[in-house]
Amino acid sequence: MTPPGILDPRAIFARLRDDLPDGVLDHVLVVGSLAAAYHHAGDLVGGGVKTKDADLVVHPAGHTFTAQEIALRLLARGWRQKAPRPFEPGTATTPPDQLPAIRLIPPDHEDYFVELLMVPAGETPGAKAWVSVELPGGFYGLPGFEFLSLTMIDRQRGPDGIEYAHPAMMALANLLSHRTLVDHVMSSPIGGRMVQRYAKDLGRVLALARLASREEVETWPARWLFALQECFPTRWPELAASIGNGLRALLLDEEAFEEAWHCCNVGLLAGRGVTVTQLRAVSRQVLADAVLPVESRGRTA
Amino acid sequence: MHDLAAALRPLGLVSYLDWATRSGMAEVGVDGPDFVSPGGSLLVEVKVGQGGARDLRAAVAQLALHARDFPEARVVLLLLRARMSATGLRAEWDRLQTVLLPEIASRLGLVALLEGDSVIAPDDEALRTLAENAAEVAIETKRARVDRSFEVMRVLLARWLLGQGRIAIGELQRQTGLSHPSVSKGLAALGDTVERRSDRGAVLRTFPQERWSQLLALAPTIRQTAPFVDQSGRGGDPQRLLDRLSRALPAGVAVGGVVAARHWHPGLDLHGLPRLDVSVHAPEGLMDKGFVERLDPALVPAPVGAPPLLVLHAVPRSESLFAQDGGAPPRIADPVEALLDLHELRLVDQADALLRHLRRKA
Repeated sequence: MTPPGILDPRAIFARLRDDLPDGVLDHVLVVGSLAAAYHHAGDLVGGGVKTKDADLVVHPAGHTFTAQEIALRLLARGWRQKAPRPFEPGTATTPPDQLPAIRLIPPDHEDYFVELLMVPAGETPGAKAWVSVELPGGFYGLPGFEFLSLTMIDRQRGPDGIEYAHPAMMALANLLSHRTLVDHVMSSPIGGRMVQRYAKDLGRVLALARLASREEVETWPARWLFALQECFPTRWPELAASIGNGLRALLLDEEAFEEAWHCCNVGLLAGRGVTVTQLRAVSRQVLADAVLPVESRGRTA
Repeated sequence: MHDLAAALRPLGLVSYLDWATRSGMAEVGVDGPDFVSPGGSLLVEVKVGQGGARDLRAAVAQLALHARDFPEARVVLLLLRARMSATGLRAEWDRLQTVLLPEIASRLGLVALLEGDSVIAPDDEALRTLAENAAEVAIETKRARVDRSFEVMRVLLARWLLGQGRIAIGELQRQTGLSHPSVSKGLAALGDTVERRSDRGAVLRTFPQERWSQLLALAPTIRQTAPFVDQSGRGGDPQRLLDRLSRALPAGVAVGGVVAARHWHPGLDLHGLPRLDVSVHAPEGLMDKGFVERLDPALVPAPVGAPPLLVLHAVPRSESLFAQDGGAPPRIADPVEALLDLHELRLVDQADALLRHLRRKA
């Protein structure tokens, strides 16, 4: 029995399997904290996660039509737009980054909601422009993040038949997304605190490493190098060589590290009593076991 | 080299791994220098107990490679307790400079702390400061050499347990690293349990119970040990640590404790691995602990009373007596070291069983 306010990731996956129409499952991949919690469901002290957000990456890469088709099929089946929205649906001329994201709630319950994301095609650096998607009632935005394509590698499939991203790939995407610590406060508080996005995402890397065994983390460099070479055939040396910059900056910034620790302790590591000192030790292991070998390969490539 | 690390920290010098981790400039396990300044402008290679011109040439070659890999850095060789005269050392150093490329030679430096003497080349403020900070450790190293008299018994006992027979006194001197008078004193302390031969050899007649009991009683103060705990909160698994260590066992390091006891007596009634005991060859008394950080960066010196995951023991004689083993781990501490570890672990029955087993075999 999971405590009140805590969601069992396996139960959410089971509901997703029941709620998503046939055919849609083959085109979506669960990423983010729900995917991480599902992978480590047996190890979570609290038995679950607090998030209701099921981030669904629509694939194949750059296929906005599929995303539109999926949203239309869900709406046709009675799924509803999640409210409130930061922006109202726009028109064909509204700049895409001012459009609301596609967030949908299942027809008969509110146990979770899905948010559709897109895998950007190609390896062009920088933030990805949102793409307009026309749905009944107006236009919505489909975000695609620069390193989301990495989560397509080594996809995992649980007994529910739903695919989710491998923790190593989510860790890689998070590390690359925050190679420099840029101020960007999250729009909603985490565990009662407003936190920087980099603290949340880099904290996630540490939480994933802490939940895995050290031996498992030692397999990450090979996975990372393969994924980088697959997704970024020309950029991979530069990306590999700088993979740990953000994590090191986090380690050197006590306040930022404490924020990352807070995110871990109210998230995937809740109930484990992990101290800041312990999380710092885990960071040193991640750097030695996974980051440094990849950086070295990047430099000598 | 945690003690030296503490002494050099005020100068901003950090271990290579620490620096590499912070800067992402190198791969763990690469043969980098021992210490690096934060900006990478000063590299320090430490050598303890270097014996002569050949050792110095090898060290300078290593220095030159560091200088090549770090084209902007000054690279300094820090010699502790080198067994060369100051005059000989300086002459050899100057000679070696002439065969190096000028752009390499101009960036090399030497700080040698000898018995009551030192060599600093070039003699500038930065190297003098380095020498002052390292001097404390050199003094500690000297203090660590206080009592090696038990080494005579330990070498003889190891031979007795392994059925290796007599040892010439000269060889005993060489293996223990002790002077002739010290060896004689060590033999005298063994009383009737040792048999002196007319051919200048010695062999144990029987188990030297009295001297052994003295060693066990004094071991907590005589044995140089360094316990470590896991700081990551993962709990730490000695077996996994052993696997990891076995994959890349550093030179001068052997596995002791329960693992060594099982090696010497495979039928020993010992289950599990309570902790990992590792013997570190430290002929000059200074234990090189640098490999611990590479083994697991989450390992830190244990607070008093905390049950350690890893314990290092210095082997302070000239010959380590480590056994080469083709398996994993590839190097095992001698049976006497294993016996001492078992006693430290309060596994007295198992220590007695190991003793009996080896004696039966011998």
